[in-house]
Amino acid sequence: MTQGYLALVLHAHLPFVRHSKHPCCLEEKWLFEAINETYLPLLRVFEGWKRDGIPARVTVSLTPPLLEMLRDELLVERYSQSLNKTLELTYKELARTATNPAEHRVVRMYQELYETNRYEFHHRYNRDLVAAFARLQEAGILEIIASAATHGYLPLLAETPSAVKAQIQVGVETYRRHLAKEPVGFWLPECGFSPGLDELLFAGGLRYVILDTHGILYASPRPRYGTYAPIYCQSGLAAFGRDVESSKQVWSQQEGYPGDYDYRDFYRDIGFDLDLDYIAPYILPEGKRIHTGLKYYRITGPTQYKEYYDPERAREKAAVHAGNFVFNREHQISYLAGLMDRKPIVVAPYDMELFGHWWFEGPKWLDYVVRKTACDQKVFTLITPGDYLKIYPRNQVSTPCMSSWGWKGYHEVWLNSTNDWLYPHLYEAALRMEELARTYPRASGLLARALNQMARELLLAQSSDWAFIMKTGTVVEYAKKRFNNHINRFNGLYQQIKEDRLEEDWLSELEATDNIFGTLNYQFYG
Amino acid sequence: MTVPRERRPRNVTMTWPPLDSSRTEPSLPADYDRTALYLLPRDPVTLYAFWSLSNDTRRNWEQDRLRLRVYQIGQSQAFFDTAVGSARSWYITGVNPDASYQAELGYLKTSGEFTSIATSNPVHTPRDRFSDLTDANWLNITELYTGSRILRLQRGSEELLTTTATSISSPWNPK
Repeated sequence: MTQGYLALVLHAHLPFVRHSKHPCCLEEKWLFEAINETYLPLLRVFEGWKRDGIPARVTVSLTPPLLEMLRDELLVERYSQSLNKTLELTYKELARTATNPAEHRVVRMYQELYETNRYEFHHRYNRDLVAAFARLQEAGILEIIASAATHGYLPLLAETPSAVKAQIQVGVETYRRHLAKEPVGFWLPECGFSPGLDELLFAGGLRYVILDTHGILYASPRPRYGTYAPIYCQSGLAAFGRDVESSKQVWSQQEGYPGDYDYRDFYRDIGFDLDLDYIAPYILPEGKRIHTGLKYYRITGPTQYKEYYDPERAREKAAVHAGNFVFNREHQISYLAGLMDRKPIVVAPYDMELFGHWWFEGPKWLDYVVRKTACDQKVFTLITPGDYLKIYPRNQVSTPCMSSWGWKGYHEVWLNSTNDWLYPHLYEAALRMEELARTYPRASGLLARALNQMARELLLAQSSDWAFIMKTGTVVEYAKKRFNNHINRFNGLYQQIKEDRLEEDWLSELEATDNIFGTLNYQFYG
Repeated sequence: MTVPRERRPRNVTMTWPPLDSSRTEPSLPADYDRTALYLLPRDPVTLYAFWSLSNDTRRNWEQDRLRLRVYQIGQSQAFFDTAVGSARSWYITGVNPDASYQAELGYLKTSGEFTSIATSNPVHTPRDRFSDLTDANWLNITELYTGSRILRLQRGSEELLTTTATSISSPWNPK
């Protein structure tokens, strides 16, 4: 008899990065790397559970930009070409490393990875990974939850409610369109929550969200079970809280599993290590070095000196870490069950891209965790938040605390001196969008197209990714350019509509460039 | 006089930023023609206010003498004023957790009277600790995080928050 539950939640997101006019765009490579290293390897793990009859339940969120990109013909074709190119390099590397067995063994591992990816992408999945995820949901392995349209950071948009409603509604519609189902759960971008959002989410048909630990612990009245049971907001939306212990074991850079010395080193990549003449065709034009995906070393230790990666040794370590994780959950859950008068739920949310992309062995670790949970112990079983609510539909009513899972736990990552200048533009644009949607409640033809495109540009400008990049100081110029472009396109269309001089050529160009949410209808801003 | 075709001003499209103008970063409007003040809670002790001024407002008021007045709702006389000069945004630090605030943008007359030109939305700052509100029938939450557990929770949270901030939204993990 199970004493409690573990909910593993994998959140997948990438900003909409589609640059039709730039055939060699660095940002599109984020998507290609995620497909190669995370989405396809994880799909293989999920399919394995289905094939072997493992009682697995995992919660997954696929954000709308990701769903749209995975089904965009141009990006799918570019992924396919980029994979061919990576394989071409891999075969060159097989030849180059033939006399070095330790290095050669790692290249063979990549050969297998990329060949398997190519075969499965084209022949098993027919170039449609969204359908692959949807089938796993039908098979009862995954519970896929919805998310905001463009990963907008909702608490900071909340003073123009139409902006939040649109983020939610377009998110839900995109989910329906791609997954042919009604979503029950909703991934709050960055776990960003403030009281009041729950009403809009509940009205949008959603039934649960996941908050960071203190979002639940600091709720009022004080939640009886801490993060080990959901609470209901006044609206009726259920809120689950992130468990600290299980999070730390995976996330923490100091003591988390991914930093183990046997695991693959992310930063050493032949794109930086090999002669420019040799590697030039596989990096950016003008010799700008980037990651190629071929990384041959293990973390080894806190030194520059690195040893070759040993796939077998890393696999064994992933199994050990999975055993440790399951062991800790057994103890945690059996301890909690002794304190509580109901079965506790431990909610463990992670970025999906951590698995495979950053932590190369992550998919293997997850596979072992789920198989060990199913076969090696009886203390807890896997569950999704949606299923837990079916077992325990009665829960304490309490108002969660404003919170996020970002640095310091509130909104500072998305609101500080590097990015606070975004908000006046976002607020003005939301007001302009409302104004035009009310002025033209039933537009048709060119005007309707322009209003729909304005909504797309506004949603794209609202991506929390731009503020996040500015704060972390990584590809800041790109983020600024993206934000400014979307706001300027929005304002350009606004002005053309106000002055009754819409330029169809320009509009058509925008529709072809920022082609996310093809079926979007601006009217819900009215 | 007819302008030769090629010398006619080109399609007005060109007045808009060219798509994917990769060399230059297109600039944004410095102000919008609307008088509005917004207040956002950032964390338990910090608020962020931003505003825009309509052309009329800008004509009628000496912009550089604007003041931001922040009230704690429910506490009479609890307000503080800041001269904000010609700024368009302001961080208000040192406010109370779990409290409601509202702001006004205005002007101090020579008589000392405050004239408001814009009022913000009300906001509520988040709590930074367990709620004092408990239901006697319920188990105390802290029992779930007893002894070393509660300590670990608190230490762990801080570390977690630091590590997750650098881990989320993976493709651009700062080194």
